[in-house]
Amino acid sequence: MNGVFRTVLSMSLSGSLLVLLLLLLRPLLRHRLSQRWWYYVWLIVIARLLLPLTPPASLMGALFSPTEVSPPAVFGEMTPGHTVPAWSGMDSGAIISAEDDTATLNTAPSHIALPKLLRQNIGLAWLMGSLLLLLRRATEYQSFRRFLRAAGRPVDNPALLDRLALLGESMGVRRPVELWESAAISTPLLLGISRPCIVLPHLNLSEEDFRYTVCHELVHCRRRDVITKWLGQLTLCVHWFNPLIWQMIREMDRSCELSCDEAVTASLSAAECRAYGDTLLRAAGQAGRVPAASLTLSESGKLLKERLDAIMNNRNTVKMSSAMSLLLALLLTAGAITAGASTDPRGTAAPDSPADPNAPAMNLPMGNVPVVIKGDADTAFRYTQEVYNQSPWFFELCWNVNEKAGGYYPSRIVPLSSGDEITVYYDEICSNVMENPEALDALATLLESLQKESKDTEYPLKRALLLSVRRIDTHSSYSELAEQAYQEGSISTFSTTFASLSENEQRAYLNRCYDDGHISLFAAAVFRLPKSSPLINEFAQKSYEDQYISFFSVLVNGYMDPKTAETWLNRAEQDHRASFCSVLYKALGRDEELEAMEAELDRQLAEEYQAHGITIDGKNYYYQGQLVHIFMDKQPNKSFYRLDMNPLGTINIKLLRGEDGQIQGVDYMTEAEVTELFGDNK
Amino acid sequence: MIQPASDSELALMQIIWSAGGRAQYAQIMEELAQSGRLWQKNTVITLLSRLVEKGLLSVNKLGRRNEYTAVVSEADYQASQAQALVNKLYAGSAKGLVATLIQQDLLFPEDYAELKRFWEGKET
Repeated sequence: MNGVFRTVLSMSLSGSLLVLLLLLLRPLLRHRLSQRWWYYVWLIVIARLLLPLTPPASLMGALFSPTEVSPPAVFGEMTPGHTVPAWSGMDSGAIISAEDDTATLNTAPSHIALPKLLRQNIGLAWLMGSLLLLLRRATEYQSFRRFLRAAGRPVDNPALLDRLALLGESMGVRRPVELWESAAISTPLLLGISRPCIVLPHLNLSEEDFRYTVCHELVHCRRRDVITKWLGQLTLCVHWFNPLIWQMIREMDRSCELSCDEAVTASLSAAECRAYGDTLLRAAGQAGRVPAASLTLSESGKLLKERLDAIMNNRNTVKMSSAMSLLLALLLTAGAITAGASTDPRGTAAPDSPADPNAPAMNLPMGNVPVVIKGDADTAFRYTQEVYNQSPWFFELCWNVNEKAGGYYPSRIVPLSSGDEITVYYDEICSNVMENPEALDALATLLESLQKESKDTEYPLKRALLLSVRRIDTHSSYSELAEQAYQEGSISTFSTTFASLSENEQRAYLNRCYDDGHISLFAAAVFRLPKSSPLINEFAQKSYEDQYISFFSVLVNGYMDPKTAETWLNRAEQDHRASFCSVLYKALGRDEELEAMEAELDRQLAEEYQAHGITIDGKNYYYQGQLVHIFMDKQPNKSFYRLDMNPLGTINIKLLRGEDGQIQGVDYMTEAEVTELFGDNK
Repeated sequence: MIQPASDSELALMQIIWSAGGRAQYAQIMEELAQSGRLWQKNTVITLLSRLVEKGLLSVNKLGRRNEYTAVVSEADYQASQAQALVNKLYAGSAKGLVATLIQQDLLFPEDYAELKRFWEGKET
């Protein structure tokens, strides 16, 4: 058994080297590599830790041999009775014995009984530990399953099972997935390998929460994360004596959740990502205790925070190419193989992980006015990124980057005329400009004015990062730059150049945004207009007439003076344009009127429905005495008046409206229409 | 003891019973669609495997198709559920159940007469 343990020890050490390497690399590279990479890379380490494969001439072989030829050093095998040479110099007992020979002969055996026994049976001790841990994990899991079953029941509602099935289909999980509800847990989780089962703490979820929760668990299911979890637990059972492996399992669990979020949010828009984050938060509640080998939607608060952060920032970080990621993984595999057999087992008592999970990293969100809080209170920093026009220079600047930016970027201290100085980190593409005294002067002037402006806000300028610089000499080059920015959709550059254009040019761009439906560019441009600009009312007029509510709402929100807004409100009220009224009420802060109007609209709609035989009772719709499953009321222009779903209902109905918007009748929905509706939800 | 089926599961059992206690998956889907239940494939598979687990159905592979056979007949199922109902609501007294049925006009005089004939036939 000691021989087996020796092999395990050697695997533990070479595995530890890999773990240590990855833990050290993680803070440096974690945003450069996808979360998926950080998850699957642990499988290489697990392979190293579980497979006793060693090439004939391994890197560690050389280090391993000297300890092998000095048997008594640590793990030497000893023959019983041949005690003195073996324990001399080993423990204090030996030193005492040198003072009194006779006493030693009598007392020594009891002194050394335990360590000797341990040394002789170290392999057995390891095996016992492994088996005990394995047994514990298995029984823990079994009793947890029983507990879940006792406090839960299978979900019987076919509408929910259908939604699960459709989501599974859309995410490439073809096999049936069980759905349970159990009050025994506080967060959703996935169990089982051959028959996967999603367990929800309760079914009182909004449609959105249900979708995101199930999506998350389905990603776990598709990637067979439960198998990976068990592999991790198995590794832990073999290497239970190695604290680094415990740390590795913690890291693995974390990257499992992070990479799962990454997979779920990959195809989501920023707003949907936020909604997904909200779901995580709601699911968090109070984190209950769950066994190691199940997959939960949310864990402890710290991990949750990291996950929320990653969800919102993932898309903004610069990732290594997939070829580079693959190369790194291959290198690591090669390293794992050549590490082979290891040396001195004392090496396993390595220090704990130096990785700081909260190590701040550079995140540069795109967009015109992002203000983000990152990390814990002491490491928190806020930053913004914007293009500034300090004629004739255009500086793309963000502040306040973290001080650690120094590790990634060259820097220069820019003295201000006030006597202050500001550290400016800069991208290498700006290094030429950083040598240009004229540009430095302009930058200093810009920084000084920004510092002055931001001094009394809760977000004063401290450290700046210069991302790009452009020199704009003539007016025509403004137009060129604006055109380029428009075509590239680069919002901050467009918005800055837009401010320097003539009114006619501005009008032309606003028209283009309007016609192309570029609402974000439109908003960035309108933001640059002075409040008195006639363009605001001009486009308000246009969007009001076209009933283009989204553009109208951009103009009203923040950019229109209240008096003009009042005038528009009067007109919208007269024209009975409810959606315009609601935008205006909101912008003017008239919440009570808004609520009253919405209630009135609800009442009117209910009356209209009543006239066609549909009664509403709370959230339930009834048609011809039957509870409605799907209720659809579509406007001729495709937007919805109402779309409601009640899983308990039995019939699907739709309202027929004419071109004038009047209800003409009620009809049952065809199967195709229902499918189409679900299709939109995928 | 026969385990009770849930509402959705019962719908599937009824289809299999009315098909003579044996039905293939495709047949079940067809029957479901005809009764207006447009359930997803995996929904039905999940419900069917729950029934197999409860011991109400057994499954045979016919090539690549699954054929489901009712292990419990409809009459046996009704009997066990009725027994459970009587035990639970009427403390084991079937008389109480009959009284309720008559009081609620759920049992018509002609039904009652037929029952009586059935009972007397049994006695002789």
